[in-house]
Amino acid sequence: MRPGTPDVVHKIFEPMIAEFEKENPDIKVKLVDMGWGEYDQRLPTMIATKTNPDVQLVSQGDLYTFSAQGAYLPLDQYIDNGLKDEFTNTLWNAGEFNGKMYEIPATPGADMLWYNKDLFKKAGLDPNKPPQTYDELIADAQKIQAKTGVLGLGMPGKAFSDIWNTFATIYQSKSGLPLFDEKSKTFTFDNPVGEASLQLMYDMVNKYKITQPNITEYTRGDLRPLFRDGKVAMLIDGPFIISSLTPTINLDSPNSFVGTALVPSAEHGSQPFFGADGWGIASDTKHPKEAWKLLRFLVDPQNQYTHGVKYGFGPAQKDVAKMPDYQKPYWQTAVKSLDTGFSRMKSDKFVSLDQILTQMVQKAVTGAATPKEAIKQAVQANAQLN
Amino acid sequence: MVEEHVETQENLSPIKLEKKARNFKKLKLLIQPLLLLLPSIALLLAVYLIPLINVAKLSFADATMLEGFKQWVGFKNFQYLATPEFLSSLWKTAIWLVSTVGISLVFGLAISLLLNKPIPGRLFFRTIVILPWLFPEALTAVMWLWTIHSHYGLLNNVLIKLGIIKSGINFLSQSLALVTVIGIRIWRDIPFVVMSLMAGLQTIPKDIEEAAELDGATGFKKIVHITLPMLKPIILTCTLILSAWTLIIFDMVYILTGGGPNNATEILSILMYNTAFSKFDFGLTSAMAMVTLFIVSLIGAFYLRALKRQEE
Repeated sequence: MRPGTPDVVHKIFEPMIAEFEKENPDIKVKLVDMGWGEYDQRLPTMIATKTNPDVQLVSQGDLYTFSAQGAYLPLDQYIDNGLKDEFTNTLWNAGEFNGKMYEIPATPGADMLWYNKDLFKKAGLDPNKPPQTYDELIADAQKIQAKTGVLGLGMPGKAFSDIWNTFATIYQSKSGLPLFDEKSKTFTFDNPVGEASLQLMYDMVNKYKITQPNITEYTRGDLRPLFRDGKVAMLIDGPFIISSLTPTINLDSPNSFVGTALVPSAEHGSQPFFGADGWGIASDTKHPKEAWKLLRFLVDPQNQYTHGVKYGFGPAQKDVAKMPDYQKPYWQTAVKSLDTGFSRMKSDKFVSLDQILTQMVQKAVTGAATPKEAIKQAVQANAQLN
Repeated sequence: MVEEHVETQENLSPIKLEKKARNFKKLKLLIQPLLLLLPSIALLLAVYLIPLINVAKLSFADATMLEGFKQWVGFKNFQYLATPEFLSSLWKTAIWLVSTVGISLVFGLAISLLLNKPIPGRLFFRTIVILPWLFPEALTAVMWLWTIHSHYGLLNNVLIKLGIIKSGINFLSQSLALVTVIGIRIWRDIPFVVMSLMAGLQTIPKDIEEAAELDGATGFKKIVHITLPMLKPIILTCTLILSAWTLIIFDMVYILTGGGPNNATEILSILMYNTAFSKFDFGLTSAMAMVTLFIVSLIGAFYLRALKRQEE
């Protein structure tokens, strides 16, 4: 199973599956596709009813939540010696939980700054000098709005996943810390730095007014077509936006308006949030050896490369990062952005934490609570989970 | 010596034979319908009663989706029902229920009374009124999501062009979200009320209406004293059905707002979904489901009582 855009998934995996079946005539593979929204809702039911596909691309957070409940097979017994060396330590670590490997990372993507070079030019800004700090980002966004009438920055705020990623990026860059301490199972942002990070987001929306005014109407996915169509000048988003851009924009063209940069720096540099979903095996599979064979085939560097550049995410393996498409400027930014930053919280309560963080960010950014109050409520909600 | 008297078919009196035959017939009349109903009863038991007993059981337990029943916890899950979070959701649900059902009934009645008159284009209007009923819930939500969008939605653009507003209204803001979802739900429910009441209006005997007119009852008086009392059973039935449906609606609200912003539209069904699929706490979810069942049962009891009074 590969959740995502079904058309794109089929184009990528049908040839791969055909090749795998040719090499392994005794193994038949059925491709299961579904949108991410459907996946979020169906995964718990599939696990509970033991209808989880044998090999699947698992969302990192779901992996932590459900492997703690025995839904996924520890892969340590199958992993060959050379496999770990193909990955950076940071990425390999993302697939580990409670001392065991449950996924082989496959779709890493860190937040980057995407900006419209044409709008920068129109506003009298240097298109080759994207903002390096949040103060510069605000100033550039205000200038673009004043000169072109186009929104300076897109910010998601709808009550679905991913809206706290921006908070994570800002906080991590300001503090040099991940959001969550795995040992104490507590949030690390219950302090002035956390409050300042939320306050910055609030100010961008309400004080500087550089974002769309009604952020609660937009998810990250809703903002991507707006960037593509020139309605928003900048976005903080992962390389996953590429699949929204490439149908109508030739990113390789020297005339492409799309520019990329690392996310703005703060006191501790540029420390973007990144996610690393990966391939895992359902614990109730009746064919563990065959499942591992398929998984190993899927994480072969050439297949990872095809998957990555066609779908739109960074290279999981060091050798894949050296392959031709990843040398392009926008991919280079995606590769560099994986060098620093922190990944998702490792917690068996990840799904609940995701909801707590979503509510915290929404409350603070809409002004329903002050940053301090919103953080306190999040801390209390987390305490009730443990 | 007394001879033992044994009754046999041969020596039974005709009266006793007849009594036996009558009893057998009564028994047959009693058992036969039950036998014919047995498949339906079995299905109802399987589909309703067994899950209901399971939910009732889990409401007193610590249970998760993957692990199922873990242990009994008494009334611990029901203690959550006294928390501000649950009470807030219950209050929003009450507003959602009363507003949606009440306004749907009022508008539905008004429209059905109008469409019952011989107005020009009556057939056309009857067709249009029913159209919202044809859309699936999810499609309704997606369609309205785009229609009311503050920047790109048709509604805001029309209002701006007409000069009624200067900039787009965020219909899904914290202050307006609940009103908006109620409005969309009413748009979806009115056709059902109209269809039900129009069928009822056809059953009102014309001679009663004519007699009332002869006595001087016209317009509003006729509606209050003749039409509404005659429609009361249907209105009560519509109320019960709409209430039950409204309480369990999930998909439309989830797609529109996800329960937000900031829990502004977190009605019971959304809260239960989040508890089940984010916290994976089936015990707590079951306790909330029992509360929902209790509310629906209360509404049903009220309906039956009102119907009984009507019949009397």
